[in-house]
Amino acid sequence: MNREDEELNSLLRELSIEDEGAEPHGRRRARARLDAEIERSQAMGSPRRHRLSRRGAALVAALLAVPAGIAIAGELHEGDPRREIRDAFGNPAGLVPVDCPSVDEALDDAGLPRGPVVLGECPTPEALEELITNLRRAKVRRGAGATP
Amino acid sequence: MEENGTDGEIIVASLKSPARFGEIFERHYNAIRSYLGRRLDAALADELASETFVIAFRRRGDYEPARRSAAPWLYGIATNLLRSHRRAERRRVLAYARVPPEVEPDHSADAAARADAGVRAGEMAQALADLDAGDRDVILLHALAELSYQEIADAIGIPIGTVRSRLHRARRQLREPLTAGGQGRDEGEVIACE
Repeated sequence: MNREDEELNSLLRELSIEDEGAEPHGRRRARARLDAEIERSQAMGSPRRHRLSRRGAALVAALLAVPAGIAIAGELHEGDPRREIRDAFGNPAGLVPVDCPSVDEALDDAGLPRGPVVLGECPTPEALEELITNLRRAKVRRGAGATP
Repeated sequence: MEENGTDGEIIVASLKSPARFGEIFERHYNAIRSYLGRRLDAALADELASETFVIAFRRRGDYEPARRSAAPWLYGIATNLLRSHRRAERRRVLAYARVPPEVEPDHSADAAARADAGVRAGEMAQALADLDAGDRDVILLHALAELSYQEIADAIGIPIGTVRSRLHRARRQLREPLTAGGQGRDEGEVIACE
């Protein structure tokens, strides 16, 4: 890295001053939350390997099950961070986060419709990439007729 | 740092002994919290730092054990979480742009230069807020988290060539206000710099 780049990084660090935060309370809470998650997983048994792959498969299955452009969104209950998606027949088809802009951006960039995506939570970049690839394949299989 | 094994070794071990994942927390929490704290307000940074480790724990089965350090992976999770809070981040940066660093009353000879630096910092904050979100992620992972190009590529799952092009574009856009400031300087400041 040259001197100019280092100076720019230094300026960015100066611009991004950390707030006086809740440390160490935040750290203690975070550790307690992780420990609770660890305990919960131990109670449940074996670790969940390949969880993303299974979720990816579930996403595509859900995608194929929901006709494009006819999803109906409705609030589950007040304060719930998700909304419900229903299929063309009014049957529940899954939950989608209210605010998941990374998915919206990726769909827009790929020229894919937002309607048919059903997610339980915002995916990791790797899962998102896999999702977009699978959506493209699905669109091709449908003869490019999925766009509402 | 690797007294009890590499991060990769610990994460693999945590598949059988989940409690070992606590070692990953102890190694990396401060850095991840600091990175988030530089991009978001303290309460949100606390929340997302906590969420980062819970998600990492749940996804530890997908970790590539050959990667000795889990830092890029964790920064990637944190950055992904941050994407749901773009507006909060932008508000924070823009607030800084509107109120650049306070310049205290100063009777020293370089007071004018400091005031100028404050104005340019505000302009740069504005430029940072105006960056494409993906470009901002890349340059801040480089500047704040001090990740290498390859680590950034691993963290957010993009090719290293894309990392380079995003960094180049971000640097060019961020330097614009600095360059404009430099052109507007008077001779006295130039002399003072020499």
